[in-house]
Amino acid sequence: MASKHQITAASLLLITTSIFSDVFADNWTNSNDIKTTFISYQGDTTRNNLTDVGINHQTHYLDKFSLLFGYNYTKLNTSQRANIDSSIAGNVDRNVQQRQLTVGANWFQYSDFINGRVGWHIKNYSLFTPASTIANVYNGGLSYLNYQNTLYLDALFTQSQYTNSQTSDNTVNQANLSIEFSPGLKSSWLSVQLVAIDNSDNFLFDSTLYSANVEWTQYLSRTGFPIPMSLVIGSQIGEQRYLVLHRLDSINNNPDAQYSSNWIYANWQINDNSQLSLSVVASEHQSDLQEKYDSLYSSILLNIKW
Amino acid sequence: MKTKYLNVALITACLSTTAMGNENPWEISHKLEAKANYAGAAQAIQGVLENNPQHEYALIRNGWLSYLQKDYNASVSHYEAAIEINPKSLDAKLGITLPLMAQGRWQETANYAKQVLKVAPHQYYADIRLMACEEALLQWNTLLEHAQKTSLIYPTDATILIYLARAASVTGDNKIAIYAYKNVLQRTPGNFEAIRFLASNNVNP
Repeated sequence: MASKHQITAASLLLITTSIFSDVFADNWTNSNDIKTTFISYQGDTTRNNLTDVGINHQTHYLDKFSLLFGYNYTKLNTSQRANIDSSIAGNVDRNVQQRQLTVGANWFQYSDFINGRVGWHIKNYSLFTPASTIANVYNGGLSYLNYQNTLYLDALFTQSQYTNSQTSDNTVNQANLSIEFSPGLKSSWLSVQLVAIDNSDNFLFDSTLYSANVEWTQYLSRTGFPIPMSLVIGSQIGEQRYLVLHRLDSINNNPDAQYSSNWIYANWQINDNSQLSLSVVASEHQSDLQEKYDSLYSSILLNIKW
Repeated sequence: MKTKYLNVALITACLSTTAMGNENPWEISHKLEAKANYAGAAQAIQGVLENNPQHEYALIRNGWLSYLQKDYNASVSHYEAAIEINPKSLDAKLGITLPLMAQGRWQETANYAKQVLKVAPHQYYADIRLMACEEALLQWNTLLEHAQKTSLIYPTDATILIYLARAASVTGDNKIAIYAYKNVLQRTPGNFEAIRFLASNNVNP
């Protein structure tokens, strides 16, 4: 027979669990991104195609902070005469495989003085093969979103440390400055992102590279298929190498220059808790040997909230 | 006789001076609020909070007056203090939703609105503010269902019908959207959003 103390303890535990789960359920929300990407290369003498699959998990505490964990697996199929820089791609196999671990945190403060939300962001990406580490990428920055939800600014700094025997201590610094604003009724957004990428020891490339990504987002105020909830078109001006694309948590460790890129994304809201995004990106590249080639990137992303 | 009048005048003067000097801080605060002097209205009851930082009504009133001054962080802090003193207070839980909404903190607002609705189902302001959160969080199906149920309880209310119409429009249920917007125009003739939607759907109001 259970003692009075045991019953009391059990009741207390039940009450506590119930209160805790109530509070926990109300205060914490979770979301997962499941993403698959396929890139085909045309006119490239070394690369045939690339496949990437990944999952990101985000935990949000109210509107105050969030944590991010992610894992990606990437496989690059190369041609017979592959001569990929092993320092970057990980190994000189016909099938180059790499993994990426992402850990991040966002913390938000609200300032009535500047009429908006200030976000503090940190992120770390580890890029590795089963045999070695390819790169460690550290990112930090600040963002601002006004209370009216019509203006967004961010300034991010990223340092990518590529580590291996041939290109030891190659550090790539990247600075991003973004401005996004809604010209009318929040149904459309114009975004301009300025990017400067610098390789401090001038080994990976010669000078500081400057580029801009310009993007237009149109909300169509619909859910379900076939009409998307939003459409995004964008274009890159200028040259990029070793770009870290924070929005997609993607590290472009392809050593060749990307000097042109155009993209279109479509987002569908499947229901209140899930969204599907399709994106297509067409880019032009040039290797250091002056070989030009194109890539076509297509990606499917499923976001589920719970 | 003159002396008698003089005495009456003196007493009256004394009485009115005493009344001015001891004027109730609450009375001053409400008078200043009516004149839109929100900072003054808050200042008037500062002494009450200094004497008793746990004064529930003073905290709630400071929360409201801070909100009116667009000092949202202070407003949230005052309401939070009031909720800590009295966790059953629906006044404070409804009050805190205002600064939180102004700051775009939709998840937190929704939590407080749900707490109110848990003990006071169909509390009008909690319902309306929860609908605002559902819209901001793109929970269109939830909003559609919520607005449908609530419009039965408050059938004369135009705001609920607007939420119903928006959710129906986004989820592709134009019949409900048209019905709701037509009803909006009966309650608030000239409503720009309803007129524009009906015109774009070639429907006479």
